[in-house]
Amino acid sequence: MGDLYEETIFDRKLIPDVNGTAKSEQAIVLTIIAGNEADFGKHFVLERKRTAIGREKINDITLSDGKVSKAHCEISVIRSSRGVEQISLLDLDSTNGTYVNGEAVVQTTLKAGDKIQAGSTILQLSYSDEIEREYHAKLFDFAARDALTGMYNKRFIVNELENYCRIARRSNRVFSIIMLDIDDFKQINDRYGHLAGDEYLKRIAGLFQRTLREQDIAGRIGGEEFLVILPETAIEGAFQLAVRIRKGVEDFVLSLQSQEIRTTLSAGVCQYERGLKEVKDLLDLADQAMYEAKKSEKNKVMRASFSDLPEK
Amino acid sequence: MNEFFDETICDRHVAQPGDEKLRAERSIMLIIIAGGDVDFGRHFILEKEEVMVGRDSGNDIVIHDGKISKVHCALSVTRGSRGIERIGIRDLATTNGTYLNGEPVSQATLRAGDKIQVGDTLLQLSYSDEIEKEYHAKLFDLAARDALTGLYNKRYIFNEMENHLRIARRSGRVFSIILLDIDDFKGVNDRFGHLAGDEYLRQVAGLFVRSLREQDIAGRIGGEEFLVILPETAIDGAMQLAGRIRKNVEEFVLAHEESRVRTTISAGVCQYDREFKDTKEFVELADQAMYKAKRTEKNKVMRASLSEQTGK
Repeated sequence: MGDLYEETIFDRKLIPDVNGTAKSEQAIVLTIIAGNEADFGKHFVLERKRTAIGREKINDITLSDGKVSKAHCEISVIRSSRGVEQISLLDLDSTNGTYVNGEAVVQTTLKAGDKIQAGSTILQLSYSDEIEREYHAKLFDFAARDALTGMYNKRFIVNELENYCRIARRSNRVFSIIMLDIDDFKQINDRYGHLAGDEYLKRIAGLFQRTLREQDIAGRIGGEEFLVILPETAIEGAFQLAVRIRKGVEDFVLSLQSQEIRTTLSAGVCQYERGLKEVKDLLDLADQAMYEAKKSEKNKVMRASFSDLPEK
Repeated sequence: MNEFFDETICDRHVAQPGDEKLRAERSIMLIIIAGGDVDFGRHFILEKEEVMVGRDSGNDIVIHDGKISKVHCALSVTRGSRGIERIGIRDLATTNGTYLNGEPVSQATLRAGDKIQVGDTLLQLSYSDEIEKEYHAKLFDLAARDALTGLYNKRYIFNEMENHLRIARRSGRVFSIILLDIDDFKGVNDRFGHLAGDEYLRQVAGLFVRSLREQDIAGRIGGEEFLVILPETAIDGAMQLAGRIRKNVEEFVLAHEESRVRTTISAGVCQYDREFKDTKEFVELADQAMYKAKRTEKNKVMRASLSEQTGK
């Protein structure tokens, strides 16, 4: 019997010898090691001379933290032919101050391992090589993405949505969401098996990704249910995008072992409005519109509006 | 209007000067930054004077990598009155050797940031304070656990299955699995709403954990479907445990708003057999037994065996 767990003889080294990529240049990385759920674990490679950090979208690093100023602090990197010469931090007269390793600072130089605190968020500076960056990106993806489709998972996208609601409440920025649910998905599973169903979901996720724009954020929030956040998009634009997805799915055929699998999807579209108190209200509205679409004829996109929200 | 995302004045700093968390003594942490899926992201605090690393379960750090020797290398930590004085590594005459930052070593002193390679696994040494340790533990949990129930997620528990299968194949060790599915869960959702359904799942997951032993590994592998790995347990012990879970679920009542939510569970139990080709075959057998329990009368535990499958 083949004992496949016997020790096998080594055939490669993960870190090549001295002249290989192990000595490849290290990047300066800033990792959010504590703070708001939506930001936790995010990491940024500092490539520019100046990196602005703050609560406003205009910053290079946007923190979803109410105790961070709109423009809170900035990090400057001086590079020479020899590599990184100096990294320094400047507080931009923030309301609550910037702290490095627990001490309030106005301006200071930074070294690897330093912890920068802005509001309730802690960012840690490190020099990371390729292997370390890959490690962190992979662990973060495991934490933030759905294993089957590669889309964001429910936890991540709902945190993002909360974040968008907070920003919109403050700034009057427009955004919309689409809630999508695959029609008769249970039948695909029953008729063709779970593997076929999974494959269909994977392919549909790819179709979403190709239909959406770069700024859109798509996540899987249930078995066959998806949520898309469309920043800077009013209801009309959101509706058009949803219709394009609906058509894309309608036309899509998965050929699997001489079977042709196809179905449709129903969607509810909703634009954020100031009166919406909670994320849940926004989700409920989109959900209701989506169920209307399902109830009427399926393969349909319906829009919801604020006035549809039942009196409480 | 309550503008709750307006910048608030900081009432606390996560890390203030003299903050114990920040100033706390650092621990020596070893993180698996590359390697097999089951080990990826695992981290260990070195507390003992000597820490053994290898493939066998007797080691302090067990790595599931076929290119690692049973006892591969030893780490030694020398502590003095001023704290840690030296961390050393010693290769234990292994087949494939131990590498430090890409160079083979038989004995060496380690510094923070060093990468140790054994087989296809890469471990990185760091000195971590409380904040960093918490960060890492939280990110790992987000990657390995189901957000709703806190049980392991599908990816993680299937990796564990592969792992137990390999070990059993090699060592002849006994282990069993239980596949569980909540009866009429759709009915719970439809009747009491999704929130009640989610709360029910959370509570039942807690009930599993209380019914199981410390060594057992429980994961959520579908909406209302769970998998439990029972190491060192033959079919009779597994049947007893599954029976206890079934009974506990039967007796459990969730008080949700005005309603009382209760249902039952069906389970399939299966012991590992050398004839199993892979994880899939093993889980399918448990699945068949579980469906048989569901088809007959629900609220029931059924045992599967290889002979049922092959007719032997």
